[in-house]
Amino acid sequence: MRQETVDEKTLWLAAFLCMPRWRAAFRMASDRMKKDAGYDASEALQEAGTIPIAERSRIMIQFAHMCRELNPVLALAFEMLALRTTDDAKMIHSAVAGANGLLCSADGDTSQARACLRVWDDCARGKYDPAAYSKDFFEIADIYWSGEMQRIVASPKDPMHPALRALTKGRWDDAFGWLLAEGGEHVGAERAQALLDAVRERGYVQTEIRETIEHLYAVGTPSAGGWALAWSMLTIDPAKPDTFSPVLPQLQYALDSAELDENADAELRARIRIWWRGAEGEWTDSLTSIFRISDVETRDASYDREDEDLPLEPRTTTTSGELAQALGLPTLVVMPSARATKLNNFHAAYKDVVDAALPLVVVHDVSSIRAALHREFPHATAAVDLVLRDLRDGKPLRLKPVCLVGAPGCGKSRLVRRLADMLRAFVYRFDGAASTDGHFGGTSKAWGNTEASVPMRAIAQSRIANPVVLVDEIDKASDGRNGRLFDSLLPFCDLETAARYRDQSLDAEVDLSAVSVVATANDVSKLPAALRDRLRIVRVSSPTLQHLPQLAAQVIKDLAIEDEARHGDALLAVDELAVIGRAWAKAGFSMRALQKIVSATLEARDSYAMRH
Amino acid sequence: MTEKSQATKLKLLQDIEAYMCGEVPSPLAMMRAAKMENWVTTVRRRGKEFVLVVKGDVYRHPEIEDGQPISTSAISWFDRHARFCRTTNRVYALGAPAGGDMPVEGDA
Repeated sequence: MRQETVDEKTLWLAAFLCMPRWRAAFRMASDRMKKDAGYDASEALQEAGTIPIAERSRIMIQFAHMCRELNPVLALAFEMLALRTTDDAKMIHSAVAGANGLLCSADGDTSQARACLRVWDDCARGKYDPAAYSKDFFEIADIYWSGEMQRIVASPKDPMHPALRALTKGRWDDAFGWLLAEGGEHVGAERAQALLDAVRERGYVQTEIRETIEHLYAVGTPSAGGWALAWSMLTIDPAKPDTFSPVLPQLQYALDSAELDENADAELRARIRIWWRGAEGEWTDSLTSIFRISDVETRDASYDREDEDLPLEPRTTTTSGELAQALGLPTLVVMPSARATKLNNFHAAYKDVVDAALPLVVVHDVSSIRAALHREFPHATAAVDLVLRDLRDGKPLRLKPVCLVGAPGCGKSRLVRRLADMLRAFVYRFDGAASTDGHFGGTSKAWGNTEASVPMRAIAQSRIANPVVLVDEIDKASDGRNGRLFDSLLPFCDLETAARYRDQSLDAEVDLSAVSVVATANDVSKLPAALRDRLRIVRVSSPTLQHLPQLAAQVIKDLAIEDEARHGDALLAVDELAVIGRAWAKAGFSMRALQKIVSATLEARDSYAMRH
Repeated sequence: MTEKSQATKLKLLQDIEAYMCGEVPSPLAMMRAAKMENWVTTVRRRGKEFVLVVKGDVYRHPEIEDGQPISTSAISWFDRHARFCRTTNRVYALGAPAGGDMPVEGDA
């Protein structure tokens, strides 16, 4: 007797699943069993009509056990016959997932069977009318499968595994952009925004990608798992060959089981071989991504092949703004060309900003940011609340112009910096004390070394439309004959004017309405009245002894981040705190002084520590 | 292809499908699976192609004595948290990787 292939068995299963009634499906399975095992299961059918349904399921499970060794597909069929609509959803899901996995891998049309399986799954989720549940799965599927069919057919026909498509990307950025744009629906808008916010900082983005991978695996569908594998390709660092291990075996498996035409197969195999060589440690001293390496290496190897044979998609570099637009995230055109004159050589950096829709940093989870800041700045909770008052979840970041006032060293600048860190916003620090002119607003285009205004420079540097401009020590700015910082700051403190600011260096009308201006000062009385009116003055009170335990713990945490040897340092003991408190009171309760005192305490502790 | 190797292939397909759905071997399966201790991953060449194998000391393997240094066959799935890996034939639970901690005295 000729051996049946796996494909033939799977197609038999597909036909089995399309049976309109349980009884018909059972007859098909029992005929099969008679043929394969010589055992006549249909004798049991005569009784199956009269015995209770629970008993019937038990018999089916027995049949499944009997033929598992001989024909696992038939065993699966009996397991499906054993399922009842009242069974636990988890049980139904796992049986359906097993069958679905088989059907997806088969060569041949299994779409109707897959549509039926979707109905089974939906039943388990309670999607259909409860009245329908008196019927069996086969009957229900027979009624509803055509509706599910539309969804299966509507989804793109036989999409290639996303990880294999990611394999064709020639740059890490391309792969990242493509995954965000194509796989965005799986990831969800919020996650996509977080990824996009994080991409500016290497450290953040890897954490975000890892979270995305976990999120996708948690979805629990094969397609989400496919995207998870594609995302995990971005975590590979050729300098660390170990990072290949959790990606390459499954990627190779996906490639080996994919149905590809010859050219695509050859191309992908050539690329994955480069990845494997990376796993061997061939490029441990390389700084480029494995995407770039495999692109360059395969192109070298296949120079004699004709280009049109390559199944590579046209290489596109997507800017983060385009991505944000594609994903429906907020953007802002800061510099429309209609209101700009031709840029000169000094302004090369601004060419990309003209007419570009720049992404906006969006605020997430204000309440947890507030809680974290309260912990870090226990002495300034009122100031934190006032500064955070303008922020709304899901809205672009914009603070009304604000000036933090307080004694030296009470943590004003640090507060702004920490807030921006948590929002993943870009901070452009401008030193007020060093300012003697109106340079802040940009210098005239007529000058040789003309420079754009500070907010515009911040935008060009960060490529986001809403950076935070921090004017540190604004009260220390001095007057000169070339204008004053105070006056040049005025237009940016007014929403109307900032939205139509004419940058005299770029000679263009730019929209700076999304830029947040935050100033710090020790003494506001030195500011002119016009500026004081426009800034919201927020007092940051100095810490006192009662905040010492919390602040000292924070300082130790910061020291541990800077110095690995400090990891696991014990917290300060009561007597240590008492000594620190006395020294700190003498130093006038400044945060900088506290940092020095705490680190001196830790050093003293180290030098007197017991050695063994 | 024999029935047995077909069944093995089918089981592998189902398992990988399950891993794709974010599932992991059940605690019971992990307890029963062969366990690798003191392991490292190595890339091997098979003609033009490459495979990943895990080398280490094996325990609870049905055919090999405990503590023997072995190399697995080609890995088809390597867990992202290095909890387990799957070859065509079986699941291996992954214990402590090599070169991690200093050996503890008295711990054979």
